[in-house]
Amino acid sequence: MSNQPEILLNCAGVIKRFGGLTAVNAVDLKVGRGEIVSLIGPNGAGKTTFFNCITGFYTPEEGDVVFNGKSLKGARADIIARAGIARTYQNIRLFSKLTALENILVGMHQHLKANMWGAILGLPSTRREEQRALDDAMELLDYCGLTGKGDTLASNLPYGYQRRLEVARALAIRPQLLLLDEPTAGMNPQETDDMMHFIRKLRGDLNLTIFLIEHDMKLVMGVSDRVNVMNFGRKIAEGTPAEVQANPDVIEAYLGSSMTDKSGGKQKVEGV
Amino acid sequence: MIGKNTLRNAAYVGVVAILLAFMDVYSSFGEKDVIADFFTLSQLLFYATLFTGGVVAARSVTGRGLGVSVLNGMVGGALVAAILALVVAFVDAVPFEGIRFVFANFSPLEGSALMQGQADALPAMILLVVIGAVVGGIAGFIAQLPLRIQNTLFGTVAAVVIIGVLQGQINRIVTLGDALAISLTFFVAYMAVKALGFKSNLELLLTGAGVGVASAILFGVAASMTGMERDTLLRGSQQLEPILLMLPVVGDLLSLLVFGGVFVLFGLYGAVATTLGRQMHDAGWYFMAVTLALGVLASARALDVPLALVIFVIFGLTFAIVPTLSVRATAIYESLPRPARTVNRRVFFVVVLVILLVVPPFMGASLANTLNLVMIYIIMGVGMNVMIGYAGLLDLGYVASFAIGAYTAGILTAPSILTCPGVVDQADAFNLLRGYEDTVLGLQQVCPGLMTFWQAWPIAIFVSGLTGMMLGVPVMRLRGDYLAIVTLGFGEILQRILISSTFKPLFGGPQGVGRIPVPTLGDIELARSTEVYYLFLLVVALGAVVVLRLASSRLGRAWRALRDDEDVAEAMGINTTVAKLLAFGVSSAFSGMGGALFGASLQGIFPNSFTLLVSINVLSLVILGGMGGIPGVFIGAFVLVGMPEILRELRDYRLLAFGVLLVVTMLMRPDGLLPPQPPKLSEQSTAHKQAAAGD
Repeated sequence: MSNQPEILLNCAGVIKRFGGLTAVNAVDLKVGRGEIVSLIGPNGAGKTTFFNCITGFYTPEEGDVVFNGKSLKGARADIIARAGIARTYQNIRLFSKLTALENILVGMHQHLKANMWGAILGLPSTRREEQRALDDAMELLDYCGLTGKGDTLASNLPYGYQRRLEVARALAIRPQLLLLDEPTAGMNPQETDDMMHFIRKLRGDLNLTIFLIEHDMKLVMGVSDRVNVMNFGRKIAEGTPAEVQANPDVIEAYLGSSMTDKSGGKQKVEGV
Repeated sequence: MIGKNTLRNAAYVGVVAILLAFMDVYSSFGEKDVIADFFTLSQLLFYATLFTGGVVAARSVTGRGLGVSVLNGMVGGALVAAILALVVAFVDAVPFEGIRFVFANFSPLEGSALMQGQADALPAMILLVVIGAVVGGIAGFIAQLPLRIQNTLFGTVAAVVIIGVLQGQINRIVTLGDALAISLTFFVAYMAVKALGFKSNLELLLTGAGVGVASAILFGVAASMTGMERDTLLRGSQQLEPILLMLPVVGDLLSLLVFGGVFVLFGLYGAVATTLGRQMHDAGWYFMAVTLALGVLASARALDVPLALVIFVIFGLTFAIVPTLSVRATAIYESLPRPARTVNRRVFFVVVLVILLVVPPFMGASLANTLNLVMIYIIMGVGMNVMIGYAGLLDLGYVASFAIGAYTAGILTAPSILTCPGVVDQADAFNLLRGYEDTVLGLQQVCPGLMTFWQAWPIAIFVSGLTGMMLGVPVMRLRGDYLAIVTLGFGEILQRILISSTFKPLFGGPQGVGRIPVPTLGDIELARSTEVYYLFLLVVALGAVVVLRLASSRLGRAWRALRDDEDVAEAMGINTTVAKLLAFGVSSAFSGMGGALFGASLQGIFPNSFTLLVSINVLSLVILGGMGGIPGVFIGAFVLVGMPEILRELRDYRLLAFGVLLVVTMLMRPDGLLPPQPPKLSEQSTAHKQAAAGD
């Protein structure tokens, strides 16, 4: 954090309530362009709800989400996607009855211009555009390591491939900011390792900014420039991986207060 | 030796048999011959019941050898027969009026298949059980045969039975001469290509065309030499017009060309079929088998035993060899370069098109009527498929847009208060038209409609599309069952409006809109069902093309994404409101297009035609055929709409038969008869094409 990058996403005082429960409570969070930022916290801390507030699935009651200098608060999800924010889901949400290629093509929706009549009449411009989109989609498929799986129904892909396909679909939006919600959930250590390299590669190749929720501490600590910690809807810590690991509030959130008393556990977080 | 489920499973069949017996199924069709003077429909149903008992029993002991299977089959068949024998005993013991009081359909057992020609109950009962054991044993034996032989056998028997049951409706479609000429041309071309092989696709096509020309000359000469306009084998025994074989007799150049063209086309099809994908390949063979069978049927007054045997052999051979041939053809098809594949596919489509265009004069008015009705439902099904199959929106008020299309076109083309207020009232019309011979024609002269059908049609399509979109606005946030209920309400409201006396001057109240002129093409009025057929055909083809194109477009993908997961679709940048409204609009436009045509073809519209049942029928056919695919809609419409019309032969039982058919279909194929296959998009990518070209 020596040279301050330009701020891409700025969430200020975001509050989201469900009835009496305040799921996200006055969270301030900044993501700089080109950074990889993580959001961690125990289950039910409000991480995914916070993601949903950014992507327009929920409208926060208070606070503001500013992306690229423009407020996105209250905007529809498709507008936010058009603005350049793409996401993946904690429990994979592919279009299960579409093939892998079709899933990616759906992601390209906003970059295609053809309207209904072009398709009905089979205009040459529409055909050319479709051909180009298909070729791009094939490239993305290869890039995400899904070569040869293009015509498989998404629901028939093995788990690991489904995760990759979700990323490929998100990349098809050509986002500036990619939100990954637990990208390694359910993966074995080898697959997790691959995903870590893939996330680094994404930033390197595509100049992406990545904001991710993750429980695997090895990945979080290995890949993040900065780590944010949430608990009970509040942000309780922020800093470099090393700073966060040493933060007593974080240790308490993860291990409970009694554990902190006994061990003062600096390295305990690593194992969570 | 006897499986532990054998008796129980056979008893289930027995229970069904009791019901069927008291519904009088085994007596009602005693007059209805499947095979003349040999086998009635009642007998067929009787043996089918016993056979089912045998199969069910034999299936309870699979994998324990032929002997056990036959034994269990015998036990099963005998048990079902014994249960039926109890029915006989019961009927014998109880006064007839008593049974009739409960089962209104019931008739005395004399002549029933259950009596097997016996006069007294006891010998009949003994005979029943013996027959049951024999039939069950046969069933047990067949159940042990390899699956492929079983399929061939069942398919063949089913084909013969269908032809036997429907013979009254289909025995005048094609003469034996025509059928032989067509199918031999196909067969010889197919075999020629198979035997000679081919170096290039051009060679393949030339072989086919050559065979076509050769058989045109051969059959032309044969036809003129045998003087086949008289009663000959080629002519057939009915007063049919053997169109193909009459042509050389007519003798002018044009008919000669048409005549030769038909043969060349079938020769080409035979040749091309050797290199087509499975469905296109099999379609050719089955078409030829059916043609030949119909030709055989037409050569006599009724299906008798020898003819039935011939038809049995035709279908038996076809079902036996086609699967093997099909695998080979598909393999060749896959190995062909893309341009050759396209050419061969086009030949196939041209043949299909020609057959579809030529067929109406052959099939007669009643079949054409059925086919037209099927096509109306196909049009609606294609539209409904956009809603439920692609966009996942369940619309139970679908009939509303059908009605809107019909009424819009009807009011615009028929004499109405828009053109001449006061005259439309029937009484006025009669007074005004004293001088005219034909009141309807006269009225059309005194008071023509606003515009012709061709002008009104696009307006009707537009209006129904637009109203569909407008109805979509308030239900934008609803999904699934909720949407279904609300749209159902729309449909009902519309029907009430159409019937209401408030709008009677415009919509005609319960009488609807009458005196709608038929569409005309120049001087030709498309009044008869065999003529309107072409209009329907055009619309169906157009609709299928439009929807297929939309489905593979950006919009189609957006729809399907919406169906799978609406939230994620939105997060992928899809404006779900626009996508949904377009789905409402497109599907309603299709429905309106069909509605306008429906009104014009019937020359009148009645509000009673637009009930909830229509929506439900359309929904059912889409589900039955396989949601999200166009071929599925076609199959679904044929089964769901065409079948009940054809099943009229079964009289009161047709809905029962139909219901059983639906239940069995959905149990055995829950995804529908023809579920859509995922597209192979990667083969269309530039990289793949270049790689393929490089080979």
